[in-house]
Amino acid sequence: MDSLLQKLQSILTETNSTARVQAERIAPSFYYDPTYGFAVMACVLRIAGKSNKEAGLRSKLTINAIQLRFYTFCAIRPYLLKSLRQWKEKSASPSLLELTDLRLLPHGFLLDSSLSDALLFLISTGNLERTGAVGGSVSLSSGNDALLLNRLYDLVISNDFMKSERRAIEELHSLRVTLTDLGLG
Amino acid sequence: MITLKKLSIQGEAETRQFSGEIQFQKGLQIFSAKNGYGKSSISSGIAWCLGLDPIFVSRINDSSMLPEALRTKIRLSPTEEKNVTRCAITLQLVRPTGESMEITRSTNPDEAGLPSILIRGDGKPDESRKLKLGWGSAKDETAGFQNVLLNFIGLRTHELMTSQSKESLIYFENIASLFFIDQLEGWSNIQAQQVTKYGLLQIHEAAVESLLGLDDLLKRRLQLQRAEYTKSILRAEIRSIFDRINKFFLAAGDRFSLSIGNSKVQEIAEEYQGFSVEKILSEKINWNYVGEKTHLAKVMSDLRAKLGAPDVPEEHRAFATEVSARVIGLQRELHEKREILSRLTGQIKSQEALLHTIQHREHSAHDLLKLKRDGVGFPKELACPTCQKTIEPQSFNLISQDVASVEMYVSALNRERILLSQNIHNTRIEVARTEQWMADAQQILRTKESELSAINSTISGQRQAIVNVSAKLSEAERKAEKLDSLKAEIDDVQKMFSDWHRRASDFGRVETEGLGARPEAVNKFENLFRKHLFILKHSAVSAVEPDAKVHFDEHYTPLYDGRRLRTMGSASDQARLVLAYTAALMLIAKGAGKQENHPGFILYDEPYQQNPDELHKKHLIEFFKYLSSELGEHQVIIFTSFTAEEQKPLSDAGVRVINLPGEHFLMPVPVDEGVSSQE
Repeated sequence: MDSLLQKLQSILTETNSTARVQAERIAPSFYYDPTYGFAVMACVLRIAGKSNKEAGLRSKLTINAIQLRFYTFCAIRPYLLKSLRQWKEKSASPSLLELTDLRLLPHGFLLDSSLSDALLFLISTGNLERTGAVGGSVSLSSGNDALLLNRLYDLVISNDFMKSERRAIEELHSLRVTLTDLGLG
Repeated sequence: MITLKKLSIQGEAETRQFSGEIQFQKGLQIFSAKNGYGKSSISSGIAWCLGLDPIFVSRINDSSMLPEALRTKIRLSPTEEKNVTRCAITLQLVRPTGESMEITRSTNPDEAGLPSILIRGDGKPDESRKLKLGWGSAKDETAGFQNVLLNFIGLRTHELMTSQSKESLIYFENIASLFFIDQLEGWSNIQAQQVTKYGLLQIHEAAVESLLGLDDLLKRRLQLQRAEYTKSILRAEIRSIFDRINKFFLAAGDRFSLSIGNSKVQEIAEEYQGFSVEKILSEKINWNYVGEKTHLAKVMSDLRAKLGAPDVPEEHRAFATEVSARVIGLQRELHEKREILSRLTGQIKSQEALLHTIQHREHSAHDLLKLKRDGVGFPKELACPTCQKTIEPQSFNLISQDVASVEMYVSALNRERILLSQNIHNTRIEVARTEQWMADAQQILRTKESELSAINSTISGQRQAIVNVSAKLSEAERKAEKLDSLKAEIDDVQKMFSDWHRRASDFGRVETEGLGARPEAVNKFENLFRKHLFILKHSAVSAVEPDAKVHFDEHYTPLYDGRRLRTMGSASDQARLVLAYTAALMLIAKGAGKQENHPGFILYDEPYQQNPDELHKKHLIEFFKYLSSELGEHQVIIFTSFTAEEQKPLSDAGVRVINLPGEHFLMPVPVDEGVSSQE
């Protein structure tokens, strides 16, 4: 951050301008904080995850990794839901779809590497386990292994945190956004 | 209070029948068998019969919490794996009076898995019923499983508010995480399997209080939750009343507005004691109903007098041109104002959407701050579960923001929100002014158009003058009507405010803070918990004596000198915390006499797996010896795998250790027996 600002300052100085930095205006968005991402992912798994009956003693919650990322991306940005709802309504009758409607889908999640990084971290630390091929589904691990996600979810629910995120996930779940909708099916 | 007496499983796999049975006794008993014997079938079978599936699965009546052998496939010999076609689990519970209840529940999804019960003894005829599970089953006295179970055990029910602002009973599964310790998740934390999805507020605290029989405290907790809910309703109401009053200021183009800010309901009630809507309107926008009404009455009276006069004065005679020009001018101005209004309304809509987004971000950031302050969420480093290699989050490009950084972001959001709110407020004033102007202009336009039409049909100056006077009279009448309707609205708001003020003042008289003094039972619980940690040799507390630095906070969370005990010690200390806590809770509840609300048993599934090293196993054995001597009529059931050497010190100390017979718990029923039972 410092070097970028210094570079900007030198450019401004060359043009006889003065750089005045207001630190409070450049606070990084908490959207990219891993704790926040993990908490929303935990909510997505609990709300939209499917129970796997073959898992033995404990019913595991499973979700497609891309859906997990997409739901998390949208839950963090609930204002995207309006456009997504329009897309779903239109895509029910494909003949009504126009090229300009493509912008209704939030494509930003494809390039948001922070969610992929968080997902990889959760898999590597045993909180999540892959249940399909790479890029396939992930499951919430049993017991102590999923301690981080379970603890976060319990705190979120018992304190009634992240209401709008949870509402958004429920709506996304009821919208039934499929991989085909995302152009990945 | 109850004792678990017997668990039996009867099933059919294709053409073969299989079964298993285990008897339990009072006091502490350790059931030992090698891995793969089927201990999980027994413990999860108990949970299934007690309707504890919600602590494992997300849906009601989902048998996927049970091992495969009870649902899908069972291996009846090394080479013989068969599909399970039918399986029913029966648990027998006994009261101290001797009355018994048998709960039978099928694992077959086609039979819906609803429990049926058979109650015997107590001099009454046997009673058999099929019962309902799920929401409402605690209140349903005729067919609710929860209701029958809680009544049989003799547990008193308590209510809490939910996050949906409703009141709901605390369910059996809500207290189960304090006496049913599952082999996986149950050991990870105190109340690790608490069912939070019901949205019961403060359920972790209430579950402890329920088991300790602290009825008064639970009533007080509910009372405070109700008060909190009433407070939120009263705040929403006064905000809505102030919004209605603020519209009067907006319509008058005044920037003044009433706001409740962060004040408490009682403070608002005190500040606005004797508040009069008319008075504040008079102070801020010179509202004067009586004066205005008198003035209009005089104007109307004068005009009526003129209309009744034999000759209308000369000055009213020729105004056709003036009226025509006014109509054209008004139409043009109205068109311009309509365009401005449309632009302003669009601006408000997009500004409100942006404000909503900022508010969402602000809430989320606050929630994140609370999570971070609680010290949860982002581990500094973790080990790979397979290779045990240390994993550094930085290598995944995950950079955790510190609290100060998030706070900085929150303050930036706060500034943006205030700025945007001011903008919206100013735009609304502009809209209100424009709308007011347009409403007035529409009225005038209608009057002028009708005047023009009347003028066009007149033939003399005298009649033009009459039209002119009558037009002025109708305008005055219109103003008088508007004044009266405004007065009616102000009276209505005043009535709403007075009603609100009466309720808010009554609310202020109810004490809304604090749960009162800590009950003695909690102090005893805390002392015994210290003692248990000492016997179990928790690595973070004193090894010499029960550590006085161990204490509970108001949520009954164990702390050590202010720090959460859970964040101290080694990984295996988590299991020691669970053991010490749940055992202390039962022993204190047991000593509470008539107040006892504990079901009277604890099930610990595989506590040894949590204590792998020899030294800790030794401490655990010491703890079981101690617990065995303290239990009396109460019951502790432990499932584990012991070697003969490990069993010896326990047996020597008189602790019951039972080696489970046979290769597996579930065995094929010999063909002869099966045939005779069918006959």
